[in-house]
Amino acid sequence: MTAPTTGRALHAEWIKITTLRSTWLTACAAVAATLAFALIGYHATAHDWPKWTPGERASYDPVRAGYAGTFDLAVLALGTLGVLTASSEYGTGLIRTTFTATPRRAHVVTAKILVVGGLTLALGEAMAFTVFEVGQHLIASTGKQVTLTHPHVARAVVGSGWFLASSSLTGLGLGFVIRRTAGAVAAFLGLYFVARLLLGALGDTVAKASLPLVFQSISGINSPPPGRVLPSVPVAFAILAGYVVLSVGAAFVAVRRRDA
Amino acid sequence: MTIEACELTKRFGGAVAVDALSFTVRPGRVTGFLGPNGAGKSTTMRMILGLDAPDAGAAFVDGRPYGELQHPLREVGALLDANAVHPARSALAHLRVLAASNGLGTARIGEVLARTGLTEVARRRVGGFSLGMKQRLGLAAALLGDPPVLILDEPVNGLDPEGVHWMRGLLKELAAEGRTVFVSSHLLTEMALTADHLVIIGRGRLVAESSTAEFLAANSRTDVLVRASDPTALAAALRTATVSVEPDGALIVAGLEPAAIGDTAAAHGIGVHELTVRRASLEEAYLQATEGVVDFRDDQNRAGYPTGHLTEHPAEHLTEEGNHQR
Repeated sequence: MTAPTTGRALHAEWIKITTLRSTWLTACAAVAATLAFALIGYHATAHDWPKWTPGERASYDPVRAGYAGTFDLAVLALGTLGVLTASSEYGTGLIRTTFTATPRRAHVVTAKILVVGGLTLALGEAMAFTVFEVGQHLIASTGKQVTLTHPHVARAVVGSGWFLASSSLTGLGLGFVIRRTAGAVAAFLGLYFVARLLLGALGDTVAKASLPLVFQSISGINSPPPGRVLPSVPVAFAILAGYVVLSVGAAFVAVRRRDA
Repeated sequence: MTIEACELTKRFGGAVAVDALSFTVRPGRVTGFLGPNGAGKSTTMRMILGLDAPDAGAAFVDGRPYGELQHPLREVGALLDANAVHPARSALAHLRVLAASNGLGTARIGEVLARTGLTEVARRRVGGFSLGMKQRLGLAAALLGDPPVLILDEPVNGLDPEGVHWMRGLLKELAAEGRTVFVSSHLLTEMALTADHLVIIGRGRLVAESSTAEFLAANSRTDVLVRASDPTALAAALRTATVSVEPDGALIVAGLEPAAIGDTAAAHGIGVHELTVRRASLEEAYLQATEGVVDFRDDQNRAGYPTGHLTEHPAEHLTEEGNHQR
């Protein structure tokens, strides 16, 4: 007899996430809303371009423009999806069935990480590339459009999709640790939207570790405007990885230590 | 395959939920795990399944801790909480998840759906299921791996009378197939009909572990209530029996058949107004066992038990077997 592989746990988790209509509703809503806002934004920029001042035109970041603000919606949706993947099992009690079927709990956590991470990475990259390609086409008249071969562009596009998947995994970890959907979603929102304000009170260096500034650094191709404190790109990726590792690491500890 | 609990202990905060509990559950028979609500049955089952870590002691399935089982669903089928399903998933999807997690073929899914009578609703969302249907789904999940051991927590909860009847039959059938069937309940009457063997706990401790028949024989009690024209004279005449006098003058006679009592009364010219055989109900025997109730008339702390309303008169606990009057 061989040990139940993580492959089996993975298959089980894949069936779980794909047999819930809410997964597809969340994904579709995230994609539709993000694309709509991003593309309307690009269209408006192209339309209003003649009225822009030279300074505004010079500081325009054609890649970041598609993600700023709009991807907050996607972070919200996919982060919640990550939270729910864990917390809904605790809420319904299904987690006990899951751990009875797969007593090696780390296998369950790993399987969820791979399934949620894989799904949200695919969605995130699809959104990032779609926003980029269609957006650049929409702003052709401004002369500011770029291609993936321009410096930093590929990193900003791929990194933006990566950021969404990382947000979702951070949510997943919180779901395992906090267990209750409402509390875990609140914690996730706090981490993403509120922490920046709190960290800001501790000074610019600490504020750089907040997720919105990390995302700003990853998703832009221009140098930050003077006076704007952003983490450098490598530091931003490292901080992002730190959030995921801490959250998911806490999940592994929590499932091992606590009764189901 | 046996289930063994060895000195299992679990504390929640300061309270001891399960206290050095040891028992063995053997194959080929239905073992009832009996105790009032809050006695620690579910906690014990969770510890057997590796969901709760015991503070002391250990539990083994087939000699191994549950966590070391290679294909747990093929070895142990468990139903702990019928509501522990995602309401938005269909019954079929729920079973597909479990089958995938243990590498079980999808062919088994159809079989267990048929055995639990859920084939027609398999594609419906579980959220719309009645508790009875969820119990059936939970049982289907437990049977998925065709396991030799079944651990079921209150499986008849929420079932209609027909469902209860079906469940009893199924449990006996599963035991007859040679499986180890461990079923918890807080109702002795239910277990008396289903279980061959009983593990009874109260307040986390083992109260009794014996065959159902032995437990009932040891704990049931028969006596005769007699109302007579001259209770004092009759009590004196019934020297061979144990007689006690109720406040209203009725005699409670133990150790004599009704016919003998009637004959004695007739021989002494005493009029018999009532002669009732009273049998201690199964629930009463169970309450005595789990609550350590020695005084039959002690009615403290008994509210909420399934025997229903209890009053100060002990006859309320007893089943009347008909009147013999002469």
